[in-house]
Amino acid sequence: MERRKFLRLSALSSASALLLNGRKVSAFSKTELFNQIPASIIEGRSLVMIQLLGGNDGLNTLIPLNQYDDYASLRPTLKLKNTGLNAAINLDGTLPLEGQMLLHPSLTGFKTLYDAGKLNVINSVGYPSITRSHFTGRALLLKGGDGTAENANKTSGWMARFLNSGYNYSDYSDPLGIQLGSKKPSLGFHSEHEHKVDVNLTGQDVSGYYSIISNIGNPKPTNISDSEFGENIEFITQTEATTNSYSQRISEVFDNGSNSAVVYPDYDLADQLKTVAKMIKGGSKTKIFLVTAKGFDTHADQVAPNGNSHLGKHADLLTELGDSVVAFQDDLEALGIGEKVVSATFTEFGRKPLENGNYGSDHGNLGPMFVIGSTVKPGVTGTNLDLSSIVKHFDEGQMQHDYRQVFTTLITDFMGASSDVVLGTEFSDFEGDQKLDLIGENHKILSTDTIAVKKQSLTIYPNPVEEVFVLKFESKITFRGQIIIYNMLGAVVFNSPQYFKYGINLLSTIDISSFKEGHYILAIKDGLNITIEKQRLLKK
Amino acid sequence: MASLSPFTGLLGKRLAKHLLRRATYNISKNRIEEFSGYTSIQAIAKLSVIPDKNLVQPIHYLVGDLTQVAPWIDDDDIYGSVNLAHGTGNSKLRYYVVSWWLDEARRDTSYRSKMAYFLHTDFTVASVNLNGQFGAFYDYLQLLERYCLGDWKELVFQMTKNPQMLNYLNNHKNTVKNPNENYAREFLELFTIGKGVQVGDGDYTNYTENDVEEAARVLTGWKYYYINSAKDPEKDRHRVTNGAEFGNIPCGYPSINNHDFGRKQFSHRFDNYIIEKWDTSGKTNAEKVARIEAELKEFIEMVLGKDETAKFICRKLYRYYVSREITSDIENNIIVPLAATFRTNYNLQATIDQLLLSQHFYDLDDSDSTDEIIGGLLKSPLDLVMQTLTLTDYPVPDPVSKGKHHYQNFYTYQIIQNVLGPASQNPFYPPSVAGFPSNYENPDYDKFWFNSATIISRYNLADVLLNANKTKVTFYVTTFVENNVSDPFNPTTLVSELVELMFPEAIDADRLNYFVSDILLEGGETTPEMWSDEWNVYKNSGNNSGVESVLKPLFRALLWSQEFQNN
Repeated sequence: MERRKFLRLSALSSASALLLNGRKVSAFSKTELFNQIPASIIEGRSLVMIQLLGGNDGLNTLIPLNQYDDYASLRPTLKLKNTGLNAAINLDGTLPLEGQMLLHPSLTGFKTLYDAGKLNVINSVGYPSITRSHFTGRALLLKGGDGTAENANKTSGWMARFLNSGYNYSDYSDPLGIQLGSKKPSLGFHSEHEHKVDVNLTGQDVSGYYSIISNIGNPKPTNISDSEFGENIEFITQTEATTNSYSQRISEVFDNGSNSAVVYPDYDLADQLKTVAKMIKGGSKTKIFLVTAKGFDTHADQVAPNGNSHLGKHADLLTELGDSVVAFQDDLEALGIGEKVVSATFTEFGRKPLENGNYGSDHGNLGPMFVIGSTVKPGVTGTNLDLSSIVKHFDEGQMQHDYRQVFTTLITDFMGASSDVVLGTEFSDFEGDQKLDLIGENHKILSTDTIAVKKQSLTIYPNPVEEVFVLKFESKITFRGQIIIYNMLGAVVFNSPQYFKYGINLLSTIDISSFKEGHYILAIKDGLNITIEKQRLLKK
Repeated sequence: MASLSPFTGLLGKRLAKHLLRRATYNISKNRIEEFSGYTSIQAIAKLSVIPDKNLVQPIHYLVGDLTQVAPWIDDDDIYGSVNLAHGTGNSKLRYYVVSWWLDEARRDTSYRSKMAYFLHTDFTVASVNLNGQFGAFYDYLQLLERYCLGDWKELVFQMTKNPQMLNYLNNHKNTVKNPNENYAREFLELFTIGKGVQVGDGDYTNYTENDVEEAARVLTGWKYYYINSAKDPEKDRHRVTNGAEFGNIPCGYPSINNHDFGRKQFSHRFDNYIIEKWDTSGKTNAEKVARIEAELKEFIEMVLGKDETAKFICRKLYRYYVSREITSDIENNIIVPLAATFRTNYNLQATIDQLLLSQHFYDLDDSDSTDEIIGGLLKSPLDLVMQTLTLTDYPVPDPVSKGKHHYQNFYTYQIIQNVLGPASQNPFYPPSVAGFPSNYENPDYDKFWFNSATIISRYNLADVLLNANKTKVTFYVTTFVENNVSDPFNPTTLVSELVELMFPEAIDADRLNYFVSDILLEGGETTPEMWSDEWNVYKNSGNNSGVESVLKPLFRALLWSQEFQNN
């Protein structure tokens, strides 16, 4: 019997901008400015991140029609036909010719989604200094980094940073992140916080999850002596029992949930998505589900030989992807929860445009992303690639979109993250005009920066800080806590215990002259390390 | 009635285990057997023999082009000069100083380390302060170890001018122009006399708000150097030390322009004590420095002259070593007489000796010797980890020959970051200046260690120790069993001897049967004969894979048993 380790999430720091927190949205004075989208709706939304492990071949997924001849000469054996039986599918014949593209014939599912107005195709996605290592590349995408010296060494996952910044998960009975499809704990959820934000359900019988993990620990001894030792044993046994509420909740939402009559194809990815749909239907408030499809590293036999390029490994993989996602989307809508979910695909890199002679392709750089959902603004983002000058790799200069623009758009426009949360996610560079137009107007959350946020009880001035600053904090209680300053990697760079009195506490001349320039987060924590207030701080 | 009178009999195994668990971090079959033959007086005498440290400071492991190991903090007789090119100022060093301390505590056969850690829970600092300059944190640890069995009054003085403490509570920013009460307040409220019931506006029975302000004025004018080694000689922490008599430990220094030499008037809580104004005109700098130190000592005398100070510390000692609950019986018959001992000359060793020798400590002061004290505290994460390492004689990677695995993989990544931190006891980084909630959170105290957020990290310890990829050493439960069980062929003997080694109290037949039948023999999947055959295979072939697979679940179950959580 596997004694599965189970992680109960306990109180962690809450962000200053608790936009998404159901109980605390009232802290904002003008919630009606949320584009008339009630907080309860925002609160019910989830992202499904579909990770394509191995590096999906973007060029055989989506072919620029106006460059077909260049494509065909780069890929004499891999090339998909543009006409006739088993030809690639024109995504949208109504687009101007220079913007038309052909979908892999296995992606009939995506064609259906596109035609129904539920798919946005984002062309030519990458990041600065793309690595061609699977592991480095995956790590960068999950950590929200890129190949530049500045951003190559992030130590936490962007999903964890987003969840930690945006939600006070002591308020949630559900885990904020759930991972399926890979037993390895995802770096995306890797957190430097003391408590994890995710639960990995891979390989678990979700319905029986509670009973499995409640097996941790031992049964209570039958005869407990009437002593302090015996009282402790009672106390420990009792604590173990109540701790399992989290796992109980996972099994509960799964068991409460249901799938519709939609028939999912028999794929691993489809099974994962089916579980996600059932959990959301069952009331799960989990914010990010990470699912995975494996096998995209198609160095050989990507296509079948003898003119059957529409068959082979890649065709099978895309069939799994397209058919699974369509079934998921159909199921969500049949269950009446289609508007609650947006899904997005991502992969560590695209593949080389020039084929490798083994009916395969090697590690490349750019590729498309797909964003799917009934609230998605349908269409094509970006323009067709220029293949005319390509020899081996795409020129990185042709990168049209940074993957973080997509993620930032999803966490803000769909999930409602405020600027502070984006800062906490370390995606501030991709806010504002860097965001893409991916969410339909009726569903998009307007910028929260224009909303009058609750009166802060914590102020720092001057901010930006040159050498010293003054901290003013109005406390509702007298308590002993500490002031902590984190750098953007989440490391503590300043720590000062303080006795805060009821009322206004004025702390003069906190000296940060030795700090490097850049953004920091200042937090006031109580004696249990719970964040009371947070502020960002810019060191000049 | 609770009694501080000494227990003079032989300890026997049960009380020997109790003493070793409570007073040290080092417990093993050999030590239990050794101590079971001692009287409590012999046992305490043995615990007061302080062994030499394995290493007096953390030693830099080989990295990059470094061709030989070098000290991390100070120049060293054995390991030569501090290596400045590698790692000095490295943020990892905080973890490595803590790792060094943990490994020395694990080896410590005396009661020093446990007592030094007690002082950390009294005089809290955060190891993270003075980031990158962990010589100052090392100096703080040196102070704790030097004084933990000695003169507490001297420690109060030394601690006040310790750079880590000056920085932690901003006393280096406390000047005549800009008084900062942070250290003064905690000095009174947490470190010495303690806050009593508020009986009037700003009056906390033992001191008043006015006393905090006046104390802050006494405490003005302290600065420090903290940069490690010769990197920046102007700021080198060795520029000022506390003198040969006090161990030559780097310390802060009086800054005469920042001190308030005026008259300080304390409240009726200190009998209206006055520290008189001191006229600086015509005085030399040396005289001014001497005056600042003298004022501090005078202030310490005043606070430590109050009986409540000794009682406050003795209550902390009691909760740390004995039990969370202080009834009026305990207050009157343990705390008050113990505080009288402490108050004599503030000697910590005499005080804890009296406590650890007492009939009360062994639950021998009333008719029932099995209902209190023994197994009545929750193990702190530190107790849990250290006792598990020593009970199993865990093959911790050597700090010199396997330095990187020792400091980084084993202690930093696994013990500190994977177990102690998530279990809420990042060892020298308490969540607040009051320390860990187990020190002060009434009425739960030590029960705090076991809650929904810590349970998994505690229970994860077994898997961490069994994971060679993580710890970088191979540990076999088989070896642990072989070294501690007289007849491993017999499942009942095997389990009962491990249980006797690990648990505070004996277990009944049902419980024994649970560990033997449900866990070791997998609910009947394995018969006792199959087990002894398997052990035979191991003895004959040396191949332990079969027995190890059966023993691992038992090891986990014992480590996460309710009984083992208790201390």
